[in-house]
Amino acid sequence: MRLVKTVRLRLRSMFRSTRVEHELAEELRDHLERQIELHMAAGLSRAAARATAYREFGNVGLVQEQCRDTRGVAWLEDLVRDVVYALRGMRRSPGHAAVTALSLALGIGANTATFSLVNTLLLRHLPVADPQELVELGSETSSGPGNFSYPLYERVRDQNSTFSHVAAVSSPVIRADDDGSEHPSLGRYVSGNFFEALGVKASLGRLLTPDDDRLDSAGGVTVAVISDGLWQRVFGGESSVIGKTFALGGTASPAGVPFTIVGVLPRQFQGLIVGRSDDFYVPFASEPRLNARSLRNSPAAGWLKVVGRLKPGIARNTAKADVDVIYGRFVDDAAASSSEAATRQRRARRMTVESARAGLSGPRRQFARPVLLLMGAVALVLVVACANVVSLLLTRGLARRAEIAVRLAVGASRTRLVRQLLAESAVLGLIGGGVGLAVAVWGTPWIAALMANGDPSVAYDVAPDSTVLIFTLLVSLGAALLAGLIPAVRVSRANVPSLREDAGARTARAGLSVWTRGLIAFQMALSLLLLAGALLLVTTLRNFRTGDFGFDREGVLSMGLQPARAGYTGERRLTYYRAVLERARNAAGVRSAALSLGMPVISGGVDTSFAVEGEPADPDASVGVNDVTDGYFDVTGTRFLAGRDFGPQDGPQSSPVAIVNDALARRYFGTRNPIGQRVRAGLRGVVEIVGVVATAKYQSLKEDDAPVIYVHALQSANSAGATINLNLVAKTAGDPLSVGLALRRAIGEVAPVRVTVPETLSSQIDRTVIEERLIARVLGVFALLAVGLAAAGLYGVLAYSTTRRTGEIGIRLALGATRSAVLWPVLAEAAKLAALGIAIGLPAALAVTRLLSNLLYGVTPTDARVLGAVVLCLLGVALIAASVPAWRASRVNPLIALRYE
Amino acid sequence: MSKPTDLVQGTLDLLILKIIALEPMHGWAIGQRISQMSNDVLQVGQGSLYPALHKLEQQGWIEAEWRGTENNRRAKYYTLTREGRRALKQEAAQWERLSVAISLIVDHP
Repeated sequence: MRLVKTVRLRLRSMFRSTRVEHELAEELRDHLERQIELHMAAGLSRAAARATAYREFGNVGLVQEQCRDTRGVAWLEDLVRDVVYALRGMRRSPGHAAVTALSLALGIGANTATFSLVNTLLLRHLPVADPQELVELGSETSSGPGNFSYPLYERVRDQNSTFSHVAAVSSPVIRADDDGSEHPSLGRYVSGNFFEALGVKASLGRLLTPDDDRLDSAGGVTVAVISDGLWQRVFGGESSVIGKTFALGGTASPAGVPFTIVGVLPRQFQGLIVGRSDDFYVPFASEPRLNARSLRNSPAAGWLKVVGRLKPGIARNTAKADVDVIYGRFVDDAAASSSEAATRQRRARRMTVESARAGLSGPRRQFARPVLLLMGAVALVLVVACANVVSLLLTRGLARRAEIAVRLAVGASRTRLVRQLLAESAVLGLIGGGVGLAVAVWGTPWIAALMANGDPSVAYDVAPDSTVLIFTLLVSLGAALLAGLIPAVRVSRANVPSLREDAGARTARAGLSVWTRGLIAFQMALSLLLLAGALLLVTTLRNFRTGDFGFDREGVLSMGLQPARAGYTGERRLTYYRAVLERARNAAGVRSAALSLGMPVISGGVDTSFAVEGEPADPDASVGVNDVTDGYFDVTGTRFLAGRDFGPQDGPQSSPVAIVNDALARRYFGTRNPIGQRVRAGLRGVVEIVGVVATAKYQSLKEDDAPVIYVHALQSANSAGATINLNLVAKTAGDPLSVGLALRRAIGEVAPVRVTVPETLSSQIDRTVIEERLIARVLGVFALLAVGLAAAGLYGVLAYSTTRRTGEIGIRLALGATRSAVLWPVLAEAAKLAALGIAIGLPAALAVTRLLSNLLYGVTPTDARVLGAVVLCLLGVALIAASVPAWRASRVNPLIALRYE
Repeated sequence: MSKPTDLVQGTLDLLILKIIALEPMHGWAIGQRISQMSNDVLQVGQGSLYPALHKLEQQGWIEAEWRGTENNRRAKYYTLTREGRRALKQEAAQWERLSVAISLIVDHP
């Protein structure tokens, strides 16, 4: 209460100061009037009474001042005065203010943009009830994180004692719209308790309930809730949407199953996975209606993400122990009906319970490290920007020494001066922060787009929220005050004698101060660090494009064939595939064509157990497998080392054939000739090896050589082609995409089967190195920014110092110095500073770029060529920045210079 | 300068609180009342009275209000707030302790 009243009084004093002043004056006048009356009553004349009263009272102005001081707004008034003074100062030298504010704006903007992503990915809470109680249940294997199977989810849901709710959402998405349109709607299966667990309420209609998620649900399981986005986009935001239906297709019913919309989600709820907004949700119970081979009862299929709400007071560790026990029992129970290998794999799995307050993992796992790394890098950019501010304020402070010395001489206190100088940099910081925010609003979507990488289903909501605004404000003020403190303290040390010095300063203090030199070298060092990191990643990207991976991606494209959906099975499907292949090989612009289950690197790869016939089988032996037709290796440009490609002779009557890669041949046959050997490749059965090809990268560009077996995809009704959707792959001459679109039309004439939009192998491979690409591009921009800022800083101080030395230079030229004798020292100074920066920066770079080593490919953090290029680049930039002031110094006209003196 | 050098530091606040605890009063009257009640022993510097009043007002111990007075004039009347009343009690107790302590020493035979 008291605080409120005090604040009210103070605010009143501030904003209605004329009224307050008026009241004070009136109060004192009243007092004096009464005193005068008192004296007149005692017999004095009015004039004498008046004089006495005033004499007794003392200095009216001083009393007023003292009353004002008690109101405690003096510091505020001072602040306002400082800010006004600062703005006036900036108007006097707008160039300086603009450069400083721009430096800060770029630094702050880059920081805000990066922080927006950190905020979106890691900090922002889900728009659900009590998000801090939510945890994600997961399982970790040696090869990475895994999902839950449905039976395991049911166990945890029903047997736990630590969660108030355990809900699940499918990891794979369901596509609603299978007509190949640009943005098909994407949805997921959810458990019936999903929305109840999250505490999300419908904005229209109702959400799903546990009743909807029972296989024998009275209301039917084919119900759906849709997102606000889908509601607006497709249904125009009409409330009549409730009760409408939309169709979902699946292997169980190619014609599509109608789902009834029962409710709409609130606008702010966009799903649990940051960056993926789901358009609709249907109950898990509807999955068997869509999938012929339902995953619901399989304990082996991991396709669920599980989210739990902790009971009050339960710690994550307690919950994890609970889940561990349930999982142990689950593995024991499943052991009876599983292979030994499967049980062994399950036992090796570890359960995890992680906070889900900011959403389920997913992109977070992929991007958290890159984004934090960029946050570290961008902090360095801000430091470089601040160094600019420091040196600009220092040089400006030198120019103002006279003014400051005078003010000190007439009694201004040093703290008061420092405060005023800091107010100036705070104003600069706020201007910089404001502009920086604009830079960030423009820059953040660019980084978010790099993360989404052209995938239309990915959208990061990076619009700045209050957290980002507060961050920007704090960084702006913090940076400005930090940058302002050194110059403010140094400048305020100016003393009265320095006033006399000033006339001579033009010659005596001509060079750069130690501080300024140090700052420039420091900036150079930080720029070198960022530049080295960026160049290492750019080299990595180049290596990803030009390295030898055992296949050639140029001109290769692929498109998915989906005969299953059209109801083609068995022999009919093989006939369709052969017809497609025939048509493709005859199409214009196609050099070679083939069918395949997977493509190098982009398909993720399929593993199969493996054994050589007649040798003892190793239960753990596992090799990569791909189902391909003849011509596949022509398309990928992979060389044959021995044997032959598949051919017409490989028909249903002859023995099933396969081709192996060099890595497999060496591992399982050593020096023996693998041709003619028979091997067992898991579900693909026993095949005879007819050829050996060079080893091509199978799962990722960075992997070590992996053994792979290529099985004929169309040989017989037992081949993969009879049951699985294959891709058409082609090597084209000319523009792959235009050839691809023509090819897609041509294939469409073979049969009414859906064919996906063609994509080039090259662009799909780029997508697999998305983190590297993200870091390389963003770090590249940051490095250029840092170098630019450092160059601007160098230019600024050199330009300033040569301008101050105009008189001296004029004298030297008048005494016969050559122009190059004036020019060279300036360039030499710049080179010296750059060299000093490099001397500091190189060891730092060697220490820091090690952080990047697991992102690099084909280049080490200590690569001499990269570091050499960075050093040359910095020297070059320093000389360019110095050349303008140097040239201008050498052009000084002695006559004018001396007159100016 | 008209600092109340003749008053122990802080006692002016106590005197003001005490005076206006009896009835709301304007500045001039407070000064008069202090001299009157102390039999002219205590002379409050007129200049130091107002800063003290304004400080007490900012502290929330007293409140001010403009009221009409005799001859159609207006004066700023100060009243004690509830908080001021509490402060007065404390300050008075404090003063009591202090004066007893001082007289213990000074009156020591």
